[in-house]
This record gives sequence, C-alpha cells and structure tokens, in this order.
Amino acid sequence: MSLIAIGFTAAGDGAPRGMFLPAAGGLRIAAVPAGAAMDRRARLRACLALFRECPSFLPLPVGAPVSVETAAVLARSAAPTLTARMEALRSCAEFVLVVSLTRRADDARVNGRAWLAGRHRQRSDETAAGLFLDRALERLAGPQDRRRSGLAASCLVPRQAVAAARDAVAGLLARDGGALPQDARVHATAPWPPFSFAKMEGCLA
Amino acid sequence: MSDTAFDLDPARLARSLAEAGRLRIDPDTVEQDLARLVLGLMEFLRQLMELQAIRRMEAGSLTAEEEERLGTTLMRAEAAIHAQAAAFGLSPGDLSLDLGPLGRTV
Repeated sequence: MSLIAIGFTAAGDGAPRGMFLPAAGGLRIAAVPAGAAMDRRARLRACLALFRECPSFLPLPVGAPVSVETAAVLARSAAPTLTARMEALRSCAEFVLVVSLTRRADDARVNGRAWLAGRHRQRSDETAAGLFLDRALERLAGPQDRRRSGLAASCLVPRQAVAAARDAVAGLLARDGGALPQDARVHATAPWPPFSFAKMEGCLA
Repeated sequence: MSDTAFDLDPARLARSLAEAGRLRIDPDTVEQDLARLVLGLMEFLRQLMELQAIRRMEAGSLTAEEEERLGTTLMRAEAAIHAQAAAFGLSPGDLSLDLGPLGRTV
C-alpha cells in the first residue's frame, strides 16, 4: 500500500490513532494511505486530527504529497534538528491572522493616472493593515515565534492560550480598528498545527 | 511506491523540501527556473519604480501628463511581465524571490 507522510511524532508520545512507521533518532513518521490523501484538503484534515491528539506532532508541508521514503531520508539525515524543532513546538499551536482588503484598483485601469492613484491607495491600505498585524503579533508572541508576509501573519501560542489570543486580537481591534481601511476584514483562525514554524528548510544544511 | 509520480527520488525530494523557497536552478526545469529568476527581478525593479512614482506623485513633483505616462507605462509593464510569466507556467506569486535573511523581493 502506498503511503503519504504527514509529519513526525516522538516515539515516546503515547499511541495516538493513526499509522506510524519507526524512523531514525526516535522519531516516528505519521502516515496516511495514498489515494484520498493525494488531495491537499485530505492531508490537511489528517494533520488536524493528529495535531489534536499528539502534542509532539511536527507537520510536513501539505502543499505537495511527501512519500514516507522521503520522510525517512529527512529523519535519517536530520534527526537531531527535527527532534529539536519538535521539542520547541511541543504543545504549541499556530495562530493565523489575515487581513483582507477589497481590491479597488480594477475601476482605475482606465488610464495611467487613475491606475497610479489606485496603487497609491492600495499601498496605503496595505501599510495600515500591516501595522495592525504587527501590533497584534507583538502582543501575542516573542520575535522568534511570529512572522508576517504581506497581509498574512502567524504566531506560536500555547495550545491552551488560543482563546486568550483571540480575545487579545478582539481587544486590539476594538481599540485600534479605526486605523484600518474601512473595507478591511480581520480573520483570526486557530488552533493550527505549527506549519509555518515546522518548515524543513535548512534541516539538511 | 514506484508507481507514484511524487516518489521518483526520495533523497532529492528530501533536499528539495529542505531548500524550499530558495533560489534553485534544477536541470529538469531550467527554463522555468531561469524565467522565474529573471522575471522576478524585472517585477522587483518595476515595483521599485512604482514606489518612486507614488512618492513623486505624493510630493507633487509630477505634472498630470507625467503621472499619466508613468502610470500607463507601469501598468503595461506589469501586464507584460505577468503575460511572460504565464507563458512559462508561472503565476504572479511565483515571481516573489526569497533572498534569505533579506526577505522576499515582492
């Protein structure tokens, strides 16, 4: 049976439901049968289910399917790095904040001046939204545990602190929301497995 | 797992995961990778020019005609870069280049 790897767990981390293969360095590869799991949403669902049960779950990216053989190579080559990341992320959840803005540039494509003015407005709106995200992140997590790319931000919070983080964002929105563009919408979603902080970049360096 | 397209070479795929986001020129996708690099730099320069145009517009140092010409040029340059990217199977988001500690270009 073909298997897709969705992440790693610590061997000593109990026996959550699912399929696990032993790997190097005391790691276990969490796997799901290929087929349905070739779909990104199915892999995401599998990650969420395991995340709920297993505090050590270190997820692999869900963007593309990863075979268990590839995961085994990662574990063999970088077990200490993976174990360190697993311990650093243990019992943490990713808290995601996204600001969406209604694009208004389309009606300004009639001529160059209007297009430029539209871009000016868009950049001003994005700057204001980015400042709001930065303030929210500063409240929620330390510098190493937060990141922002454009109008999407995420940070690490203890799993038990997700509700408090949501309240903190609501409070900030009530206080500083007036500085956001009028059509801005702030979306806060959590808890997620720490996808943005468990990236495999550099683990083979 | 030899029947699955994603599992041609686990060692190579593992390295690819470990290097995700960095600038890479792969022998099998050299045309697309080069296009991404070149068009990414072009889009980066275009955005710098757009920022400068906006600054000058804010400062009031452009005439209406200059604003029109700059806006039209930047608008068409963006469309041309996106069209070239699409020809190589790249989306506008693919033109964002990761410069490591310096951040992303776009």
